[in-house]
Amino acid sequence: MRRPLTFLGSAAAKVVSTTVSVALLLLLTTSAWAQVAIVKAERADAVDRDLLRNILLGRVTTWADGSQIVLILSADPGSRAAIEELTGRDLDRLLRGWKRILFSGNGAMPISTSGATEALELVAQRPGAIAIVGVTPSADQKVRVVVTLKAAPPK
Amino acid sequence: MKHQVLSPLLVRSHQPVLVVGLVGALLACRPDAGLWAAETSTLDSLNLEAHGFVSFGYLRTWENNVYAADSTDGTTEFYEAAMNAIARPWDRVRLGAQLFVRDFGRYDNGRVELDWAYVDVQAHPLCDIQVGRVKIPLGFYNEIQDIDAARTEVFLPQAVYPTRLRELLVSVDGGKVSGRAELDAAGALAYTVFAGTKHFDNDGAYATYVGETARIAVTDISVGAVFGGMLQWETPLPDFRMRLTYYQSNDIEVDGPATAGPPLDVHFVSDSRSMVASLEWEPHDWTFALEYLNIATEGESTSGATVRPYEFDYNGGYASATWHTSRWLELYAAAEYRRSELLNRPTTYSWSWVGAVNLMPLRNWTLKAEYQFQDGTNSVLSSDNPQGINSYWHLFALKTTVDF
Repeated sequence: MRRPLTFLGSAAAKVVSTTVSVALLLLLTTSAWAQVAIVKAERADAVDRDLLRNILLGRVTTWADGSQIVLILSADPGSRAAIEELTGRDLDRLLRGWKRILFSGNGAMPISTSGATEALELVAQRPGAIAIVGVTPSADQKVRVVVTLKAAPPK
Repeated sequence: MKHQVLSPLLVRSHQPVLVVGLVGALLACRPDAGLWAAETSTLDSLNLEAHGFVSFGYLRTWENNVYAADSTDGTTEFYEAAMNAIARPWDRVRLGAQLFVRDFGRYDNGRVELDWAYVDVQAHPLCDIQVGRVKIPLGFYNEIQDIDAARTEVFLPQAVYPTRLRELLVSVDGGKVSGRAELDAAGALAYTVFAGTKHFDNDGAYATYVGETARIAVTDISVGAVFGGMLQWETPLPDFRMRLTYYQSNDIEVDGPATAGPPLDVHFVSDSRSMVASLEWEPHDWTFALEYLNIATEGESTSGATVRPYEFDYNGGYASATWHTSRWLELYAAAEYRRSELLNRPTTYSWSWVGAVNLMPLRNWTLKAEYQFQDGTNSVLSSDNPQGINSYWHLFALKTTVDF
């Protein structure tokens, strides 16, 4: 079972997690450090920065057809930077907002992943999922890039 | 996933049975549900998650006793905890339940209650239906009254969110429908309408408070119907929103023998209407909020053979500013005003000046301190202060919360 976002953890675990994520990203992606939002390839929804921001802030919780949006937050640095740029809030403050939604019975917490690779897998599996990752997925992924927030630097 | 057991608390109430029933129903209603053995995939498909929090605090007042008969000596009767489970078994369906327990001075005293339990069906962005015991919007923050981890201050502004009325205002047994419409350049509109009824325990905070103010020993307290709605405009100015909320409770009935004067049975019946106007602006590292509450209650009281009209009006509001200085530190300041009238005669008023600091050593751990200077007696009861009430008094509170 995927682990819902929890607030327990150690600094050591985060360091290991981040290191592993970065290593996997370099192996599995075509352009590391681009910041993109991804959805399952079959989803036809148009997503722009405003919608993405509202999803991150918990203001929009359904797609246009009414189905549930499942927000996946990846722990990779590119994702964190994108969240801060989009919302003007760091991840901790963003999650305090989600605690309001969770504990008032108005929703569930976003799902956390240790890195972009896991986030990509989850988006490919889960209907209604959307994730922001610090990589551009390779062409054979079963996901679709809906917003590019920051392109990868030229080589 | 982490699980937490509240078994020492569960035995004190029948309400956990509802939660067990809900979880059982979750498993049973799945078409592919089977035996627990080798059914981890079923659990996976439920997308089950559990969360909770626990808070402990210290409260002390000077000059007047407030919330407890000995608060001027300081009290640690100031804790709250919650545990919830949420499942998303199908694409458009979410189920959840939360147990809540608190001790707040003389109120609630560790009584476990079913905070919320619902089935939520997301039919359309304009129509999200939630049925069960559901939290209701009243102002911006009514639904998060208990969620210490999600705010900077220890107490929500008492001018708009009186914690002794929490039980009346926080939820409804019925349902609500919510939705949100994007208006492109004009921002967005969000709404909620709700209706249902309420159940009160005679030893709950609301019954205790009504008994204290009406000077009766409450033996029965009920409300017939509760309904209302919320309309919110998320303006084109980023992170600036406005909200209007309406809340009506009809046929509030209270019975019990008088605790002062002749030993007569007393019966109160009234209707109460609340309206809140709210503004919030969150530019970058700041949150500014401005809210105003009006309550109008009308009815009658019968004491023996005497019937008297009852009319209570309340106006309260506040302005607050929160500075999110860093990931680990937030500062809060607010000014609040409250004024009550009984039968069109002013009874009490208060000005409050509040400052709070919130330290967050970890993402899931907060440490807070709050100081209040009070000019007025709006929340002070004479029964707590037989020596007399002072117009000027102070409150200091410490609180720490861990959540998962």
